[in-house]
Amino acid sequence: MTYNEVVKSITPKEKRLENAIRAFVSGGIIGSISELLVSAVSPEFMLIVWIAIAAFLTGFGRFDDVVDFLKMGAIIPITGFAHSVAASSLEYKEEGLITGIGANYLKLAGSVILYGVLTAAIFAGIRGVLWLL
Amino acid sequence: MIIKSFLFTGFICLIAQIIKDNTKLTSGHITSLFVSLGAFLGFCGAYDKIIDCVGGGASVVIMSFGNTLYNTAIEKGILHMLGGVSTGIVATILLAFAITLLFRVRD
Repeated sequence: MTYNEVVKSITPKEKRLENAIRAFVSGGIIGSISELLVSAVSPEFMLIVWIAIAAFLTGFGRFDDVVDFLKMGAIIPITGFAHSVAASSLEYKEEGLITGIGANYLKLAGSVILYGVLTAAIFAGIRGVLWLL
Repeated sequence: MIIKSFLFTGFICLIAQIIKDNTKLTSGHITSLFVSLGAFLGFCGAYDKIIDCVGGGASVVIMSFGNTLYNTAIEKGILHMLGGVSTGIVATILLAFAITLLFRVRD
């Protein structure tokens, strides 16, 4: 057996099917509740409800348990983004307001903001060029 | 609309989970990927139609960020694109700060 085969044979098999079902159902439930909140109040209210839930779960140290249970169903909705900001902020709280919280605030969310802005700028640029032609 | 939201959000999370279980990409990679995908679908004109059809389920996934960024970039100019995502980003920044004041990091 090669090294890779040994590693493969002793790594516990991930329950891929179970994970996929969990992600689908939990994502679906979050989506349906969002639709209820949007039609009952507004999209802004819906976002703030999820962000508050994710932020408090992070504060109580429970968000990781939720992700263990809901899988990507809790990461891909706005809850994942809110958790990433709250988690890095809490993590560096001890290091002070500026060099701790401030400098690390968007540490994990930075990639979402950067690549969102970058791709939006590229596609807006492409559209501008297409419009000129 | 509620059933469509369930199916749409569920389907997106399912794809994300399949990517996560079958590649070495982390949640951070996948989230970034989906934001970019949202901007691309906005460019194709598809995402606004999805939101009209599906409702809240399409607004809650992170792809909606990319789409809003793209739409605002078209509407107000590339340099003003952050104006449109302010709900999600500003609310996250404020609430995460409030949480930081209230709690200490736990294992």
